[in-house]
Amino acid sequence: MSGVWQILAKDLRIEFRSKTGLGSLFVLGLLVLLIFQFALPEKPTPESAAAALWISFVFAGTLGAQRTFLLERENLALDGLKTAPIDAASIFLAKMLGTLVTLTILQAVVVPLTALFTGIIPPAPLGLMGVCLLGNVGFSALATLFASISVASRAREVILPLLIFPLLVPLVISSVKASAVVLGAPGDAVVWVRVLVAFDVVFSVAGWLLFEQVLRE
Amino acid sequence: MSWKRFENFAGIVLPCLVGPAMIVALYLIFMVVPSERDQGIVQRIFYVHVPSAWTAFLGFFVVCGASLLFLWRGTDVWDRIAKASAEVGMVFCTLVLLTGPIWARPIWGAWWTWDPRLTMTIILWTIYASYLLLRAYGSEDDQIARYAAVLGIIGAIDIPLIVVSVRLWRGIHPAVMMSRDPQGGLRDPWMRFTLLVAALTFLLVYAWLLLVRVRALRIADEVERLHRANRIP
Amino acid sequence: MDKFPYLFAAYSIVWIVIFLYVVSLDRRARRTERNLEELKRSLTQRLPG
Repeated sequence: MSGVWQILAKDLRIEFRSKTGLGSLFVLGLLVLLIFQFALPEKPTPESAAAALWISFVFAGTLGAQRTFLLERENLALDGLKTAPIDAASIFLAKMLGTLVTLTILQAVVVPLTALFTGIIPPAPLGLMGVCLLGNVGFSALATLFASISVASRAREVILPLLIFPLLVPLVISSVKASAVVLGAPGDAVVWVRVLVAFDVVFSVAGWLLFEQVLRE
Repeated sequence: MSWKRFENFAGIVLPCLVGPAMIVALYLIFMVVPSERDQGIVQRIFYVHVPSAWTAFLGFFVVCGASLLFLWRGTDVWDRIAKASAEVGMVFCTLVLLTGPIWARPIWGAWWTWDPRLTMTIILWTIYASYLLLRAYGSEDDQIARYAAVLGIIGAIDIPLIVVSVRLWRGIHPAVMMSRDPQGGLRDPWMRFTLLVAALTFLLVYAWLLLVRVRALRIADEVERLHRANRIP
Repeated sequence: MDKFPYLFAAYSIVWIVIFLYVVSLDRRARRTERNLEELKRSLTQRLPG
């Protein structure tokens, strides 16, 4: 477990010391929200606010998920990581947590912005935070696994959205629906939360098991 | 029985079964099965649409199984099977998405409906597409087979989750989901029989095309290997 | 209703043509594979090791 913390701490240190990076993430999140507001002519509803929130998160998050492996490209750091006495599953855990942290910060920016732009103040902020966290976990699991593939392969980073967007469908549906309910739309959030939890568990475990296959030479 | 023996055997048996089977299925579809009461003749598209869908889903599960075997055993043949199944499965998936609107338009008036089966199929299509694109873009990586295998496995694991979330999205209550998806009330036994025959036929077509494609991939791999071994650029 | 035999005939012909084509594709692939095996054999004879 200590290996996980070491890698995580190193990654977070690099993240927060870099001058650019996180900034571009926030701006992208903001921009997508803006475009959404211009694209939708009607009065904002909990459903449209939830949609804006999660579309913004998915786009900015896909960009953000690459970072944890892009920083390993310098100085053949990835090879160093592979030869370190730490198993691949732990590396995955560290990377996934790193992405989770970065994307939580992204959400901390995007969610208030959504509330600001749409004028819909969340009546149950804790519930919304819970849904955001659940969505984040599943997203981070899948994105981390496939970011490693997209960064390592000659296909480059453009392929990451192609790889994960279809797979994210259950996550997007559930997160948007649950968020809409938590923001005031009628309906039952519990059934969607169950799907989210299932998604999170399944792909965290799957990523944890399969990551070794990606690192293997 | 070695793989070579099995392949030679299947290479003869499958076409011999598939050829006549399709004629029989076509005969049933056009000459035997009665027209559906409400939908009329157009409903016969169903006997091609549904088996294509079943085959498309089977195809992806084969991609998953072959991917798992490839990661576990390491022999290239499993990678070839995964890749071939992705191609052939994609063909059937496309057929579902083409026959679906052709059927929907005269019956429901709209070219596209977001009913669970069609929605599921278009998502499956995008998963197939992302698998094939990964293989295409990353074809120069030596690890590409491994990456594709991971995608194949994750994709298949995702499918049940997609089914559940899409059905919920369409408002189908979870309790109802446990019961069998109604085939639209196939009352006439000939209808059920025709569907079964068509499904088996499509399955055989899939298996045959898979075999043909795997052989072609093997030849391509051999040529590649020879090039590298003899250092021919 | 009476036109069904024509439908059956048309689709059957489409199928038979496609079927025969795929069979011919497979035949040619098998021939290529045999040529490939011969090529491999003559290469390993010419360039041992």
